[in-house]
Amino acid sequence: MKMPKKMKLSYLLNFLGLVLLFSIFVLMFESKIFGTSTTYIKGIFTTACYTIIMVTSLNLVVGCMGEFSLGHAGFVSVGAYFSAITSNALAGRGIPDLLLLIIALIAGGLAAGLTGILVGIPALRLRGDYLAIVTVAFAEIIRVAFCNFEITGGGKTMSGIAKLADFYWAFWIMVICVTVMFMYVRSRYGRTVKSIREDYIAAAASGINVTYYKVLTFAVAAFFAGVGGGLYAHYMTAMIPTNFNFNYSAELLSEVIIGGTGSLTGSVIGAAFLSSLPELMRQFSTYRMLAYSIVLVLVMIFRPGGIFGTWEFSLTRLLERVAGKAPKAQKGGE
Amino acid sequence: MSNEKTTPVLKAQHLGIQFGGLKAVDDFNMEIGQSELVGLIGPNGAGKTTVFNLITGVYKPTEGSFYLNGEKMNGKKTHQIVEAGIARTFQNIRLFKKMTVIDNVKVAMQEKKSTYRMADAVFRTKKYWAEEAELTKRAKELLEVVHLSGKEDLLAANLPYGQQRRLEIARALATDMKLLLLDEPAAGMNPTETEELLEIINYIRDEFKVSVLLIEHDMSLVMKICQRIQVLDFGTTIAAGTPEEIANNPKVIEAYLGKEDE
Repeated sequence: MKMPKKMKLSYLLNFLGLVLLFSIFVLMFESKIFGTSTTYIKGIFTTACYTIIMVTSLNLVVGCMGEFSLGHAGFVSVGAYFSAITSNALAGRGIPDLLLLIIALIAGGLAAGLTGILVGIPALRLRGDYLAIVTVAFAEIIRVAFCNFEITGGGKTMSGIAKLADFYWAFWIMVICVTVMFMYVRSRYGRTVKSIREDYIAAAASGINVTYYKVLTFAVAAFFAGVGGGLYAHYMTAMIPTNFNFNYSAELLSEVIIGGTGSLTGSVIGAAFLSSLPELMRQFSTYRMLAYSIVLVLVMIFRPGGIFGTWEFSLTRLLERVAGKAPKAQKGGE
Repeated sequence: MSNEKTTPVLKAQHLGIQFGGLKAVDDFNMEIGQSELVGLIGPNGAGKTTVFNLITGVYKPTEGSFYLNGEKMNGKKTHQIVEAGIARTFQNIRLFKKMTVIDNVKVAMQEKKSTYRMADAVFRTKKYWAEEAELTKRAKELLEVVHLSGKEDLLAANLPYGQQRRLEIARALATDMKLLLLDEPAAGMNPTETEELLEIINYIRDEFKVSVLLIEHDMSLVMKICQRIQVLDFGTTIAAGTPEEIANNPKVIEAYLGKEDE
């Protein structure tokens, strides 16, 4: 059976929407309406792009799988360092920049994904608080290890990473990553993982290999965290292991929770907003964590499921609504 | 190679489990033939659900062994046992509450019926669409069997109690099993719902050619549909036989009502 026509149209529409959004950005930056701060604002948007990838990937674990991970920065840092090392090793061999970036990102993602499997197999036997503690420990181990490895700069700043990523590429890489994760969630894989979140005993009694799917999802999330880390490295061009400390993990997790656990839309918007917030109020940057905690507390009180809950944005639905022929937005079912 | 006449669907031999000093189930023997409907009854705490947990791999038996169509199942994990063909429902309903009714069924079905890989999902290949459409179609058929047509897109948590129980049966059916274990399916149902359930169980047994092992406290239901009944008390089998034999067995009456004063 072929793809239903309606879906084909819907994918096309979404793609056109993205192209439109992208052209708005291009127009905005190329016309230099921000004057001298164009580069600066572009930078904020790039930050938003890789943060979106990291936060969305964490949402796979927290939202879909329903497990608490407080060590996502560990995977980000594995991806960042591994991709930086890869691109350093391949630099100067006449590989075009974009290809080099893609190779580096995939290498970083695979390294992080592999780490995800290695950590996931023992750690995912635990649930809830215990898993959270183990993931914190893992991220700390990674950080300390990278502080001591020669190849990662040995605790000093690792600098001189080729600047391969700019906003335009970061945007499309983000789009691809989020799309892939969305497709993963909206397939038998996502369905299985959600059933494990709902009731793992019933899931096993329905013939699901719970451990396998948990580790798989953990690895997929780690892979994309690594890709996000790779983008970070090739945009910042310098980094130090302490960038990826517990605060960074906590920041990612709070963005997931504020955006809405289980809603990829929430993660995208939450990450975009919250990652640009500190830049927008630079003079208050020391109070960032304070602002975060206040926002988090408010969200927990008034919208315990996060701002978007499990709601997903759908361009197709929106357009249908505008055209006035749409049924009401379906509730609940993701 | 399995001969339907001679190889029982389920065969339990001296099955037992010990929790510390307590023998929850001891020397449990049972044979269930093709398309047979067997009842497992006993007072509260007799070990009925423990038997289910043993047969589905939730607990590992400390003694004895059990076979599905002659294949030894001891030591297998729950999902492997389900794959081999034993499915169950739960005494305290365990649905995937925040998922839709149809997704509850599709989840249980897809482990056997769908083979598309991650790449198929990401690129939305033909295989993806074909298999998803097939899953949806079959899931709808199963929902029809348990009289839940038209409720596909509701959240499982929003179904009334009796319908949740039936959805659990549909989910068990979706695993394409040979032996269905029903743990108090009529608990909390009113007489009309129980009657409907009885019809469904009979229909499933005839239509899907499966064997059923039923735990139930509703004696009228048990007496009506079970061909054989086995009675547990304090983990040991105290009686086994046809419904008539069980109804008149003094040991069973004693277990349920207590001994008369001597």
